[in-house]
Amino acid sequence: MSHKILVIDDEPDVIKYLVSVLSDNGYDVIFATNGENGFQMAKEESPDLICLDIMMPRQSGMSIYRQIREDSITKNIPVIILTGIEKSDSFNFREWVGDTKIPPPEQFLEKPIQVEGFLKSVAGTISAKKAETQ
Amino acid sequence: MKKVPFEELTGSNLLESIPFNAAVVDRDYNVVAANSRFKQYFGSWEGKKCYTAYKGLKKPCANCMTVQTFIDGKRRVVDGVGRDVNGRAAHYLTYISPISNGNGEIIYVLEMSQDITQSTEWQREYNIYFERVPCYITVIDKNFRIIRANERFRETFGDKIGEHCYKVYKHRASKCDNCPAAKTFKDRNTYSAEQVGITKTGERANYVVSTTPLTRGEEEIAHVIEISTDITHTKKLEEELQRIHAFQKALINHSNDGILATDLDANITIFNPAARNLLDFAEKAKLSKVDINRIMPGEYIEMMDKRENKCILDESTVVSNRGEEIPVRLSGATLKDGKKTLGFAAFLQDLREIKKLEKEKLEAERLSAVGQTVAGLAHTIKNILMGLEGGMYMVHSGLKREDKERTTEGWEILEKNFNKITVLVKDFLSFAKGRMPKVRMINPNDLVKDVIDLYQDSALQAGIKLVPRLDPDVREAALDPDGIHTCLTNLVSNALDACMMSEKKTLQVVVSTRESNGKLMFEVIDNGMGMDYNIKQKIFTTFFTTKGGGGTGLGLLTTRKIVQEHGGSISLDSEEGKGSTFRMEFPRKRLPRPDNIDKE
Repeated sequence: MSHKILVIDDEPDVIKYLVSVLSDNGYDVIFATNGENGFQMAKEESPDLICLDIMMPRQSGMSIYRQIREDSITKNIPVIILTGIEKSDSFNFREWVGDTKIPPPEQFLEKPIQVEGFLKSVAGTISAKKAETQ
Repeated sequence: MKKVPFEELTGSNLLESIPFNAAVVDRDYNVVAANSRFKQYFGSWEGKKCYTAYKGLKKPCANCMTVQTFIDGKRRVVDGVGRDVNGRAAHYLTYISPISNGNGEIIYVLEMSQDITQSTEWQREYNIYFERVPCYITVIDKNFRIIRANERFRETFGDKIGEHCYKVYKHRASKCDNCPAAKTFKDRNTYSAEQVGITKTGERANYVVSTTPLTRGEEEIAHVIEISTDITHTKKLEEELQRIHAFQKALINHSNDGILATDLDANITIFNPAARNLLDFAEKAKLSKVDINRIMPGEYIEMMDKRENKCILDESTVVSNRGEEIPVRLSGATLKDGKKTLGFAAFLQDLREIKKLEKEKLEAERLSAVGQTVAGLAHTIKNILMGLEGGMYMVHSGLKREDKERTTEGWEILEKNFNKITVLVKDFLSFAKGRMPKVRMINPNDLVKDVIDLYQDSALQAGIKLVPRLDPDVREAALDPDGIHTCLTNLVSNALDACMMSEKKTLQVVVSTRESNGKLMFEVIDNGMGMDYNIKQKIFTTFFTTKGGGGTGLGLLTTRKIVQEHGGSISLDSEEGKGSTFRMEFPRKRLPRPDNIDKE
């Protein structure tokens, strides 16, 4: 059974890119172009992984992330955050979330993603979660 | 004792020739003879006892001196008070003299009395003057001892009769140098001198003394009278005045602000070191060379001409000796005493350093904004790279699969991101270049109208009301029209975007102008989606966009930079879900000057 991945990004080009890459590699892909829809889909579709861009209008990606982690249905879905911000220097996860109780995402990936590395992270994250829950 | 009738002794003519009231009394107090003066003064005496004739008494006076003279034969002078012919109190001096018979026995006493009622009166008055006159009066002898002093003196210096004047007046052990009394003793002239003494309570007393010889025509002066006027109070006032004067002079001299005062004829009366420095006049420069009309700005000259109370110029210029224009803050005042105009004063605060710092600060802010931008630039570029990467993948995989649709899609993504890079580079250059604004006087409302016109159509299409709210009282201002236009388009386009992302039914963007507390204000108010705390924190500080790949994140940075170049500031109020207000404030006094900026 193929794994289901939810892509949440407001940039249509990025959606097209990620959907193509993931479906070319055998994943079942669904997507949302804003955070609200994304959260709704996460609840309804129970994806195996969520790819989230944290620079989105309306709801900044982080508040969607917080919602996902606080909701009982979605809180255990692994999340890969895509970001243009360099996580090494200027990005501080705790500061960004503003809440110390929320656990960090399974993966941070810096844009651009490089297809091979991205696919490796996706597969790794899903199998790690699988191993953890079994 | 052989009693000889008085007439036999002398003959009646003798009494008449005495220029006093003369009466002769025998041992039994009988008045035996008197002259007509006596009768005129005391009335008829015939057959009266002396005490009756003089005083209207019925028995002899106590301590009768006439009786004493009968006993001891001595001459006496007696002060007496009796009644004259009209019954009024009469003060008289009586010379009592014995008259003897041939055997040396005293048989009569001659009493010659002189009316001194008037001189007693004078003496009393004189005493009052002496005691009460508001001066210190002392009489000193040749040894400089005080032999008399008036009440005022005794009150101030103590009751020190008999002591040396220098001891009493000045608490000295020896005679003062340059003693005016000594000079008067020497040559009988009157001398005056200012003196400082010490009162009985140890306080300082300033007085002016004048010394006069007290003489009854003798060759040698026995006494000198010293009359002193107390000037302690005057002296204290004088000293206070001097102190205030010195204090003010020190203040003026040490002031960091240049102080320049003139009289009504524009002659310089105060020109402190700070003013000399500021205006580049040498320390020894002649004040007559200082031309107030050349130095000071027109507003100040006008204040002088119109005798206006004051003139405050937050930013003005004065012209130095070398003809250099110096930026100053000027506070001028017409100096008045009641209604009388005394002159004019100007306080000049040198603004050169402040101007320089302001410019440096602006430059530093611009550089720091550029620095932040460069740091944030990587982020934007990464997003574009992500797009390029995606486009390449799509083209590549589309070609491989011979999927024409995917290839075309990929190509479009590549083109789009290529354009983004072009726009980014252009925006970035315009931000980083630091172009000097071209400033001219312009009506702020016109700028707003232009921007509203520009966006009206697209706002309507998106179902957003774009409304100007312009204060008709807004005055012209020195602005860079292109710069402010850029600011307003950035803010309006942001506001429209914020509305488009909201799901509210009535959406509107208001662009307002107004004047408030000397500031020109522009506001762009939307009721769109608003911003949360995180976004508000980052909005001006980093290269930040909420528009995904759609914005370069430079709009607000550029806006802030232009606002700062006008000496203004930009601020934001925003509430998530309710909307945002961006406010540009330009303090009028910090706005650039059209001509100045053009010169640079």
